[in-house]
Amino acid sequence: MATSSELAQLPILTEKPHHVPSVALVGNPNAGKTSLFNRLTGLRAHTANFPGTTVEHRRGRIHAGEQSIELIDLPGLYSLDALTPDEQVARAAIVGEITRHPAPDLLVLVLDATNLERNLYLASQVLELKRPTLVALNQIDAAEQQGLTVDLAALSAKLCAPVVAVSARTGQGIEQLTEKIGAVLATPTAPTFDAAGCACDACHGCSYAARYDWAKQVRLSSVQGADEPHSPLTDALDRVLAHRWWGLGVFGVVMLLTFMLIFWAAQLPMDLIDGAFASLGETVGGWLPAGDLRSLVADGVIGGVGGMLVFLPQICLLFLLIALLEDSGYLARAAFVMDRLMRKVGLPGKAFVPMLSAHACAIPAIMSTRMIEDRRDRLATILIVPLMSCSARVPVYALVVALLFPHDPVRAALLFAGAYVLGIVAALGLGWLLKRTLLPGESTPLLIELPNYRVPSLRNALITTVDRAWVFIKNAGTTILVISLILWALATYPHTDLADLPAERQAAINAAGDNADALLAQAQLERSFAGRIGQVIAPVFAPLGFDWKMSVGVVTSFAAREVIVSTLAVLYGVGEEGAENGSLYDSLRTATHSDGSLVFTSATCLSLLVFYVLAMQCLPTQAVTRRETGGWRWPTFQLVSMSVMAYVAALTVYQLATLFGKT
Amino acid sequence: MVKIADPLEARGLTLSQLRSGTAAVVSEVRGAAGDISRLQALGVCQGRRVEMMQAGDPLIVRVVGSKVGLSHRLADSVIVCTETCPTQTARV
Repeated sequence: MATSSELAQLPILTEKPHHVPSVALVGNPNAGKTSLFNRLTGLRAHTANFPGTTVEHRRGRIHAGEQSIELIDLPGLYSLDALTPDEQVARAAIVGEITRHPAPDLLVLVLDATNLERNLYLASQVLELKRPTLVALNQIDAAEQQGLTVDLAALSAKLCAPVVAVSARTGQGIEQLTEKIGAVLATPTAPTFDAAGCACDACHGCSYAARYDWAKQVRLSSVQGADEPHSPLTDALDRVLAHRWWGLGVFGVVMLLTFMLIFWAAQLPMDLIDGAFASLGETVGGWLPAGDLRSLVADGVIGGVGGMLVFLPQICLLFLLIALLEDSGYLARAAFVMDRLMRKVGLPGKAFVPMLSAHACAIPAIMSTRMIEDRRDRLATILIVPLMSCSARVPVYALVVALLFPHDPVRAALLFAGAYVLGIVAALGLGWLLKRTLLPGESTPLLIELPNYRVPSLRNALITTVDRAWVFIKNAGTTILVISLILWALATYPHTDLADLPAERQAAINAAGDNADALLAQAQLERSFAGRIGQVIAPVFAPLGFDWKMSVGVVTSFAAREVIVSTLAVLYGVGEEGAENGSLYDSLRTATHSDGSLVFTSATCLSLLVFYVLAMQCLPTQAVTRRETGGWRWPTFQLVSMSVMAYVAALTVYQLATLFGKT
Repeated sequence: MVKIADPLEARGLTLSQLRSGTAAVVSEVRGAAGDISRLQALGVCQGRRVEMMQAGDPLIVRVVGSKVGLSHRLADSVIVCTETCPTQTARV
């Protein structure tokens, strides 16, 4: 349906040469609304927030003949009672109460043909608004498979609105739907759904029961086939997947496989991105004269952005797999079986998706908390997910484990796993505490639709993935860029030249031969702002067993925790390459305090590990928390609570380990 | 309208007490207004037939053609009757 005039129409959003009619899709969460939206718009859509809210919707252009139409996909709804933020915003959007968003010219009510009666409940509320409405009867192919036949004319008469049967999955009826949208927009019909015309005498502001009675009557008069259609396959699968014990077992296996797939499949693209940015930095650096500008572009900008984009493959895979699991119907079962366990710490079953996602990265995890309806539950989940061991912690864990158990793979693996367990336990503990103090009140009891299982659509999942990944890049990317530049400046200025150093150090560097660059870099970082800040705050971290170099690392890794490894590499004089070829480990193992005692004792290593499991140390996560909670209050709380927790825990571990002579 | 004891209600079951494979008709939904609205929007509403698919906590019912999972506590607030609902007409 693309036309050659498409490009010329793109800037219309800002101009107003003529009115572009808008059409909004309204329907139940599992009615296939999003599939229909993707079918109609293809890839020409983008995600946006309604002003002043965190409620997302997607919009895109479609064309009916010559006419260009703005299509809006509203959040899925069960009712217009305005109980949840999604419902409030969707209702406001339909009636045009949102600033700069006039009421849509036409509503397309998406109904699931296989579950018509329940869908008609929302339909009765939407039709009552008396907005021009067109009904898209979706999943008509599945209904036919279940032996249902729908009398479209009868249904249309009952609903007082035109009805088009479609299947977003097969594409059946999509062209007719587009044509009908164009036709209705050309001659907007006044909505006629009312008591007199449409036999819903009790429907105006009536009780729920009367709406369902009406829905049943409409279904009986327009659908022929099984009285209560159901899928035997779904029931059979649920006997295992939703089972009290089997369900948990299957859930564990599914999650394990998901994670193995994420870490395995993301490895190659991550290496490629890493390599690409490294060579890009070198190439671009080669074009620029040596000096601050080259360092700014190569290390600050390219290094900083590359450091974030390297996690993108994992994040995309995570989004993709979650979208597929959700589309298949399994995610609802997982929330169902996990609910009993999660309740014990006061969180809803739905919180498991963010908690698992956070093991790759806290940012997509925080974005995925949107599926939790209750505001307090959602906030509690947002606050605890950064405690999960994300990918960026892995380099730090790897460093500590290699220092402690270089020749003992079993103990190394146990310590590694222990770090993950510590993160999970701390998160659940914090959740439990939050629900009893700052966010009191019982969480909303579980109530979830368990839709029929179906083969998920890869196309829809890919579109969702691209959308979400783009939001991640825009959010995290801009923050990361700013932070990278600030940190670069802190680590670069004031600039130290070889001539500025005391004579004996100059001599040492001159005598070092191959190692001269690394020693100069060490001296430069030591004398930079970051280095000075680290030395000033070193007494604060001394009770944790950290020397001043590690304190500098805490400063430089404030915005992105994995930076500690390269900072230690520079400060211990092995250069950044040393972090990769293992010379860092040798250098750290032999490092001594001024009194000659070893720096990296077992106690210090454990303390460093515990600190990095629990500390916030990730500004992009905080930026996303701010976006999702609408202010700096909760990101500040997150930073303070996690930092205090990390400090106290690391202090305890160090002091206990020292006390019991584990040196 | 203060009732001390309603013999019909005393005989009524809650949804959480239904055994797997049995069906009943909802006669009343009690509890917090928000919870009631959420239940009703999914079809757990006066006069609807509910079928217990899997008892326990949480439990699964089929109502108005779709499967719904809900916590035992929420199901406790739904009064059902396994045959006809004598109170239904009286309440409307």
